[in-house]
Amino acid sequence: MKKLVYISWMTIVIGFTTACSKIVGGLNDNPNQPSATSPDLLLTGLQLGAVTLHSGEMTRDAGLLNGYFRGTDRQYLTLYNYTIINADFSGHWADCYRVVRNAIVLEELAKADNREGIIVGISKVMAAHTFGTTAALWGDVPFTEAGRYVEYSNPKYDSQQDVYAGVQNMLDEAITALQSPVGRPVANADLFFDGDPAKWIKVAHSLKARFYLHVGDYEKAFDHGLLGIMAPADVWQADFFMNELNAQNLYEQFYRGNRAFDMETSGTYFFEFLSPTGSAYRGDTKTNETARFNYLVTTTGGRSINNITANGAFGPTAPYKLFSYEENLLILAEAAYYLDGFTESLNFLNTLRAYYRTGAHVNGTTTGVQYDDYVASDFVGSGMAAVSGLSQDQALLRKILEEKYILFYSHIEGFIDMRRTMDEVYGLPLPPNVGTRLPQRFLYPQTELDRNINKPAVIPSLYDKTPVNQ
Amino acid sequence: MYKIRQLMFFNHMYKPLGLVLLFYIMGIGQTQATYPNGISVTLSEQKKNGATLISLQKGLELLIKETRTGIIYEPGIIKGIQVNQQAIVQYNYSTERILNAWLKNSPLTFNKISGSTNYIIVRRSERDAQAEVRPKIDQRAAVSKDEEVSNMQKTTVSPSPTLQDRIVEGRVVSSDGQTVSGVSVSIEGFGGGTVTDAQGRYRIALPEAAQRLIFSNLGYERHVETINGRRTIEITLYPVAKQIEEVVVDALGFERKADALGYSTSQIGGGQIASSMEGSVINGMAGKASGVRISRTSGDPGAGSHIQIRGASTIGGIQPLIVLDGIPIDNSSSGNSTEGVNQQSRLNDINPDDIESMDILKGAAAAALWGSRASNGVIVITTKKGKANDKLNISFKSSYSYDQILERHPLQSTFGQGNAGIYNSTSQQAWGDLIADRFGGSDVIDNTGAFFRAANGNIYYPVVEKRDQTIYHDSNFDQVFQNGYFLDNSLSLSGGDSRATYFVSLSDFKQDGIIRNNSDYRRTTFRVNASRKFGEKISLSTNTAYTLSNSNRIRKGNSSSGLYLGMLRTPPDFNILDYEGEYYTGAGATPQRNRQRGSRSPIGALANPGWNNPLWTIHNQENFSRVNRFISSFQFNAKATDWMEVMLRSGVDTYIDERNAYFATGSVGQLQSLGRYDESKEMDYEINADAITIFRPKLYAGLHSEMLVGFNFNQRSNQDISGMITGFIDPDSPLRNFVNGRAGSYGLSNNRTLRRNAALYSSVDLNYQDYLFLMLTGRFESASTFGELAKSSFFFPSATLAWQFHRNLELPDYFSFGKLRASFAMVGVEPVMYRTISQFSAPTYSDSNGGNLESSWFGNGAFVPANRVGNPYLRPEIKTEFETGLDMRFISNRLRTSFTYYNNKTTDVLFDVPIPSSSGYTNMQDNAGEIKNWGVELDVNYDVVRKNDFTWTLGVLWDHNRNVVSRLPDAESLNLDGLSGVSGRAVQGYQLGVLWGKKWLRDANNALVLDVNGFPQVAEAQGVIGDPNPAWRGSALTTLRYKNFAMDVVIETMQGGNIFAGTYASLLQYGMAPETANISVAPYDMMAWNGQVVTQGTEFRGNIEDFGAGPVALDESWYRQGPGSYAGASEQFIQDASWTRIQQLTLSYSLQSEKFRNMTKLQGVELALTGRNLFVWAKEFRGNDPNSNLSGIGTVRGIDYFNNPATRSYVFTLKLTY
Repeated sequence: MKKLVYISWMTIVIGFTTACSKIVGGLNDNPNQPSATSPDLLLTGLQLGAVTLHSGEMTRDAGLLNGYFRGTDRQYLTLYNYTIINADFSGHWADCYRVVRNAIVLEELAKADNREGIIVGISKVMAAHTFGTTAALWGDVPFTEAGRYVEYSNPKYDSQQDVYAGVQNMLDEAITALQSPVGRPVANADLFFDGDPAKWIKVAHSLKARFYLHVGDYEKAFDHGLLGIMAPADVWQADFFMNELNAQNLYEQFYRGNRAFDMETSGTYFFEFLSPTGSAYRGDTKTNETARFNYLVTTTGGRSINNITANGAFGPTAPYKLFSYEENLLILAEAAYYLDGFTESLNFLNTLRAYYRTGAHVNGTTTGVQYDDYVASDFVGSGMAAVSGLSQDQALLRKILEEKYILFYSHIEGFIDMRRTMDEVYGLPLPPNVGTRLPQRFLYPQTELDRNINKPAVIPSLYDKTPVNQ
Repeated sequence: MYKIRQLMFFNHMYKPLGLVLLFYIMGIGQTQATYPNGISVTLSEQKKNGATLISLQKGLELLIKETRTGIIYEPGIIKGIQVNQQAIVQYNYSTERILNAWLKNSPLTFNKISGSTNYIIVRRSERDAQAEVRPKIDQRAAVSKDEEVSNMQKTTVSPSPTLQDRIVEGRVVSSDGQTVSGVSVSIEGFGGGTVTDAQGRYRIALPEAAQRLIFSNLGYERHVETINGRRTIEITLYPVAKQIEEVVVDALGFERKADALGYSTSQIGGGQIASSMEGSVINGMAGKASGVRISRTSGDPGAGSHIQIRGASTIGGIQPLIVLDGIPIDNSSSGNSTEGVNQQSRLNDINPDDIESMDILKGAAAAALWGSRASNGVIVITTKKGKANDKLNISFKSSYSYDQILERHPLQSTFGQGNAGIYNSTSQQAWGDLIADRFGGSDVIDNTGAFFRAANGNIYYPVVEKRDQTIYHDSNFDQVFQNGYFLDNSLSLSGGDSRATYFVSLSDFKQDGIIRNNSDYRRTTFRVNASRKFGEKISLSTNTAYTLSNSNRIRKGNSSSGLYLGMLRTPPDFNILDYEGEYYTGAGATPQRNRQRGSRSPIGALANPGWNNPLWTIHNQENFSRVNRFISSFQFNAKATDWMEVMLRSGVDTYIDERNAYFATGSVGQLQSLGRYDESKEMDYEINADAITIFRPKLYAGLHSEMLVGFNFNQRSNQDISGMITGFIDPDSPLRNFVNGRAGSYGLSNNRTLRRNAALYSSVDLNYQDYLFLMLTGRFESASTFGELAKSSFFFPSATLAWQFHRNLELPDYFSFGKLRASFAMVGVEPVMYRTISQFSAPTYSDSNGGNLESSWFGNGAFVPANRVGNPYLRPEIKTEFETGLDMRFISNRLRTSFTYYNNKTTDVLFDVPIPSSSGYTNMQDNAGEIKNWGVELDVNYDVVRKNDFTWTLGVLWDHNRNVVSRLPDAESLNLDGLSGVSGRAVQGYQLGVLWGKKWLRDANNALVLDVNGFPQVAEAQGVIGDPNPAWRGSALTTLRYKNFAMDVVIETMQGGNIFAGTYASLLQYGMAPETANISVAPYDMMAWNGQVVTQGTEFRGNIEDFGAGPVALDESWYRQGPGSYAGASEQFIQDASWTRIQQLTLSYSLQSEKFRNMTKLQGVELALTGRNLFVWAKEFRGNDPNSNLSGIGTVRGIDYFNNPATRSYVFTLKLTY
């Protein structure tokens, strides 16, 4: 009898516990989110993430440290005063690696779908672009082990030089993949060129030129520049074609938002430099920057901010350039100086000025536009482009850097280019906002310091140059 | 009319009794007609003895009380009969013998109800019709006259006369001065004794060695008196306060004797909840249970509150499980954030007046049968039921409350709007000119250009020169705040007959907050609880409640559209009046409609003015919530045999929460400025079913056992749908409908979830000789949220042991009760849903401080990998707790103490483990952490005075909890919630929820590293800056009753925690804190933070401080731009959050005298005046309640950032019972 009771008891217990797990099984697949997607949809997501990263908050933060913006309240005031902490960079860092991660997952999906080819090439260009920027801002960063959590939960840090080399390699792979006859993304999935491989190959070369310039390899920068974006129509830019909620140019959204009053352009190095009323206005008898200034900056209620009006550079549907024809010419101009000398370099600068004369860079306006060709004598003695204390050659290089500084207003590349050249005699004399030193880099994010066991042994400070600039 | 009195211990209803009652009910009409009233029967015997004569009715009542016997009689037939009270003592409390004596010569007889040992019916004897018949009684109980005499002699026999050497005599009176007869007087250490006579006199012969006399009588406290050679000893006896054995409710909803439990539990009676006049159940608990800490969100009507039981033992949310009448119910508070409105706690849907009792199962052992949901403790709520065989009871309560703001933030009114000492009408700050230095009179305006035309036609031009000296703090305040009120009406009906009981209640709570507009709450509830017995073995009961709650609340906190953020930053010289209207760029210009006028935008020139005018916030924004909730359960019991009972219990809790939020066009914010309307519906559904079998096997004498086996099924599902439009077609339309939105400006979202738990559980209860109690429980549980690669079911055991040592040990006389208890248990926390598989999401890329890029606008839309990696190994976290305690009662239970020590460890704590974001992902839910808690709880209650018409009890509850996050791998800190600058976090080695933020830069010796000017600097790395967890919580409760008056006081204190005074920090930055209005004189040349020199003798606005390198000037540059600002080191704004408050003070008067009852036909009337939150003493924190909580009911506490204000109330209550 006891045995019988025992057996029936055990039957009930085992029966019920088995039933328990059956009752609850199979319910934990989230009905609100997919667990698979296509490489094309992922490409769009990857690109939009990159647009947010390269045209959003990171450019404002960098701009506060680069004479573009003045912080007047809250966080921007703190950043402007160089009261900067590691945690301020956690978001930017994560956003960078999210772009990278998306590119890696895209490649895996494409491989699984047997879709390799052009789409993978585009993805690699996107990844290389962000990797290069990340290395420029932070120095040594994870590269070979980045974005692959399953294999590397604590990615190791590669040296900045290795990352640049890896990025060049990645761009070469991208060019190869872009030459494939297949694998073009479905229509509209590529936000930039709708999958046109020829245009992407140009972007790849231009990026190679930019990153070679970062490390001072003028020859390769020049060679790839020539293969890059050599026509205004080939520009790599993000289009905000709809004036719709959460679809507009991010600067326009920013200056319509709650923090609009925390930051302005008035009173900055840039403002004094470009504004026709500025104390250090760069215009001369061959140059009138009125149209460009008004295109970039607007003044309301005594505050000058980015021009977010419909025809402004940061209007709701204004495109944001990730790599421009202008930049490509300026890379060529700078590199040409080191390869071929003054005259060749000046030619590229004048090519740019000729382009500016069309008014195409200011939305087609021609009033307030004057960019006559410079001649060599302008850079020496009492020439309009001469700078006291600088040789003719140095004055030309200064002019080229000035052009880049203006071109990169509200762009991350402005911060990077300034850090690259600021110690040169011809570098722009950007004054610090407080103290005597200029911040040289982005700080490693608190998240990485907290979590990555492979973080660098020595954590550089805000004022330590990245290795390539040392 | 007839009346059936049936008192006490009427637990079991017997079929024959039902028939007998019926018989009497039918027969009584005739009795009254035929039997003449007023017959007086005097019993010769009683007269002889000089007896104390009382009416038979009183006698029977006494008998019922003294002997705990149920006696049923019809009052009509016993009228006029007088009996001797002394017979009770004389016959040694034998009901049958006493009744036999009393009824011997009366026309009445009595008999026991067959099968019952406890019930007796008194009825008219047949002798009335026939000749003398002896009362029909149990022959064993029949006592002859001779026997009675001998019995009497027996009880008065003294010890052997030969030992007698003296006689002591005296009188015994009760505390109210009445003589007490029948008191047993005995000699300690000797047999025998005597009893007092009708005059309370006694006479006793003492043996030589006699030291002390013991006086005892039922209903009075035992009294021991040392003789000390006296011959006459007068004694006063005190009546025993009603000490019915405390019954508590366990995790499954069964009643248990508290004295037999091996764990501690706190019970809060429904009366205590209702008398707090809080309107919400949770706040009504505050201060009334040790180990339970309640933090209110704010004084907003209907706002939720945070409950913490025995510290935080898990990261993912620490609100306890709520079990209502055996069914788990929802107590979520969705949509809470540091901005937005304070949401409700769903527990507050329960009408406090419906609650019979709340049992707080604090420890793991108490809660263990709820397995993976029990880690945070369980609150078991039992609602009121009707009583069997009770008349219809009607109770009506009406309360009116008058609410005030508790405290106002101190603000400076010396300096005007502007910066650098210069007035500026569009400045955000109040660092402007000295108001006293102004010219006076009207401002000089520029009426040639742009202007603002208010809705009422008033025109505002830009101020060119500020001359006016008016301070608007008070008038601005009065335009926004008022005195709030609530009106709470509740009606209940209850009663029952022998088979069925019912309780029906209806309540309506209507509150208008202290904020003038759009701040209200109304809750209407309806409840029916009923039960019915079918025969002897089967019973059914059902509890059903419906709640409709409507609320509207004002946004708060870290939100530019929140009330206080815009209000407290308004400079003292700005009048917030005329907040809405049109902006004109010049005369004749096209009006720019829907503009708001605020301090930053005095003529409405800005389409998005940075923050709202507070009047705009309260008039042009709405946040409605309407909840329809239905909770229903039924229970079926069947008693299969003597030793087995089956119970089925099932219930459903479902509600629909419809919310809408409206921002008029022109509100602050990117989207809101276009006008925005959100509407959402959340549907929640929880089903729970238990099948329980209870066995009571007879093992052997002395060992009672009860076993239980149950199966539990629980399913929770939820569906949310929400939509939003921005940019209204007609901005002025009162329409709250999507039709007022343009195509393309819609936002839609939906979400659904489903989870299940299934468990098999069992418990074994053993009771050895009524002094040793062992209980073992176990629960095998499976849940849908466990990972596919984890075990499919987990086991949660518990064991508790209680030893009532006063039954075994020789203890002093004053020791009335002692229990030692110990328990061990494991409970858990189940994983969050949908964390086991990696997913993709449609991204909305957010640009910090800016806008968003919504992927669905671009290309063909997008899906990208979610930032959280799936983890198929997820399992429940396990909390293992050891608890031990000592419960003791002294001096006839007058002093009651309970002490508990607990120690628990939660392992496998689930959290989103942050992973290096360079890996491409940011986190993964994992069982990785470990949290430990230990603490002590002490309850002491003392009846200071226990007299008939004067009682005074005093209670002290004290608890201390120490918590440590002992393991938190891969995360230096885990952000739980808070602001971007200061957040509550989990940090290894610290208590959970420590405050984290910017710190001062310090060197290796922890000294401040100063800059060249002598000012401290902000460190690059953030760290722990404070701990909001109080070191201890204490409360004192006292109840004083004198005749019809009563006073109840609850004082609570929390000591030792920190709060981040974010509002104060911000007000410093904006030049609004009083400290910024100090005018200092530089004693010598001093540096200001911005590097300027304040020359000797110069007056400057600010303060002088020495950080270690000599005094420096803290001026505008320090407070506004430097590290002394809100954005600087948060460390400097950490304050002591200790507080003490009069939680509740109630004065009441009740009328329930016989005369009153006869006159009004009412059972009673009670009038009460309650003060709630009357006084709050804060140690350091100013401006709001230091217990207010920005994060609502979230885990994080101790952050103040423009939280909506707390309130103080005065409540008047009228209660009528019929």
